[in-house]
Amino acid sequence: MVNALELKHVDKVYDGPVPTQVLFDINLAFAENSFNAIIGSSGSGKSTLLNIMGTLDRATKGEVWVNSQSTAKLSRDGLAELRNQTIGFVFQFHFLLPEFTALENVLLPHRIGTSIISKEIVDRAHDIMELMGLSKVKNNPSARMSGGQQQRTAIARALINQPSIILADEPTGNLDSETTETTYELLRKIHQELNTTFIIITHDRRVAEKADRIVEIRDGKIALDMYR
Amino acid sequence: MHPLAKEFLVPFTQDNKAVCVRLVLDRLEKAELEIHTLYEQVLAPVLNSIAPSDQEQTSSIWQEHVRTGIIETIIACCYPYILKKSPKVEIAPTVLVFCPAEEYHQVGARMACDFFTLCGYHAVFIGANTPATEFLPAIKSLTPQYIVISISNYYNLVAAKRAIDQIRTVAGDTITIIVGGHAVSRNGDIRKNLGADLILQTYADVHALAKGDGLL
Ligand SMILES: Nc1ncnc2c1ncn2[C@@H]1O[C@H](COP(=O)(O)OP(=O)(O)O)[C@@H](O)[C@H]1O
Ligand SMILES: [Mg+2]
Repeated sequence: MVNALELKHVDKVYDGPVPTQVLFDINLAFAENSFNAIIGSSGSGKSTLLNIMGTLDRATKGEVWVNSQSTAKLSRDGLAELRNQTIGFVFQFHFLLPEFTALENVLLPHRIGTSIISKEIVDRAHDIMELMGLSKVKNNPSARMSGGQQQRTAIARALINQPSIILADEPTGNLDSETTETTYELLRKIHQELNTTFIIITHDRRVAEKADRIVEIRDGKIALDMYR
Repeated sequence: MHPLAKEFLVPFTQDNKAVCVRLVLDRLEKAELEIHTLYEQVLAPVLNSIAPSDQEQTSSIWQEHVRTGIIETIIACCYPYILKKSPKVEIAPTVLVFCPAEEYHQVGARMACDFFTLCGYHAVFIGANTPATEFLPAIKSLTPQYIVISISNYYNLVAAKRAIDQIRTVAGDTITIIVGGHAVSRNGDIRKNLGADLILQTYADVHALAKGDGLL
């Protein structure tokens, strides 16, 4: 079994007047192409864990391995490159630029990565947007789309660099139940068609129970690790 | 597949309750069928074939409900035969059986409860979807020696763990906590993870426990 992502003995302590430890000796490995859910009550440390997995934040102790590569010795730029090439992020709030069109928002990571946008990339953006059911609205300013369409645009944006791993922090947390269902179906479809590894933080039982694996975090520790 | 299961599937997939029930009662009446064989080799596999608890729905939900209803009717009809077989025990240990909150699949739990009765225990089935506000008073009032928690959908392992934590808080290690069900069978370290004492999945498991307890 090849691991897409692995945490080894990860601790996280937030500095401050009173330093607080929020993760305790976390050991977790996620297999390539697996679809995983992380659950747990608010404040249990899920987002902290996801940010560390995505190398957006550093562990206080322990190691993060991405695609069998340790991130310990990577420089800030090295990390940014690894992240840009292998990980796509989806958050509860989509952070789209409102005055840009959906398509422009999807192409945004590429503007950051390289300066020129090739025809290949633009074609890929169109393909992904079609997969996400956004063909009709791709030239609309993102502010004028529905919540579900905006979130799907954010997912398309996360996919534009063809990441092998998607990390999502309550991606459907802000959507009504019907839109949650469609968004989730799309994530499953991407998982199947693009062989992407998914790690999704969710409060939604219907999302979690369809994952191949559920990890429950309680007080910064793994309380349960369950397989379907 | 057991020959009776094959035979049973025909009326079952036609939602023909009367034929299904008659078919089974006929065999029980003639004493050609053991309860545990019926449960494990006929009813469980046919139910799983139409209502896999962890996969995309293969039949519609109303149909799953109708067919689950057929199975539950048969289980209810088995009770007199179970009583006949159940050994006379001086002081039968009490076993309390339930499904955790939000777990609505109760057939496995009912079968487990009957297995305990068959083996001489005083087994009480509380129900599906049982929150702490129900099982804690039940524990207090019935003072069971064993608690059996049955989990089908693996998401409900979360609620099962919570239930076990709550039981430990009031009862410590004085009650043996048993887990079983579909969600448990696929998960390697789950017993330890849940904080349960035992995993029992089959009639043979319950039978072995009863032997150890000197009931058989
Ligand atoms: N940047 C930070 N500085 C200090 N404490 C933080 C910071 N981010 C999160 N925390 C604390 O860490 C704990 C875990 O937070 P978080 O990972 O966001 O939990 P969850 O996503 O499960 O709700 C909480 O107690 C939170 O207040
Ligand atoms: Mg969070």
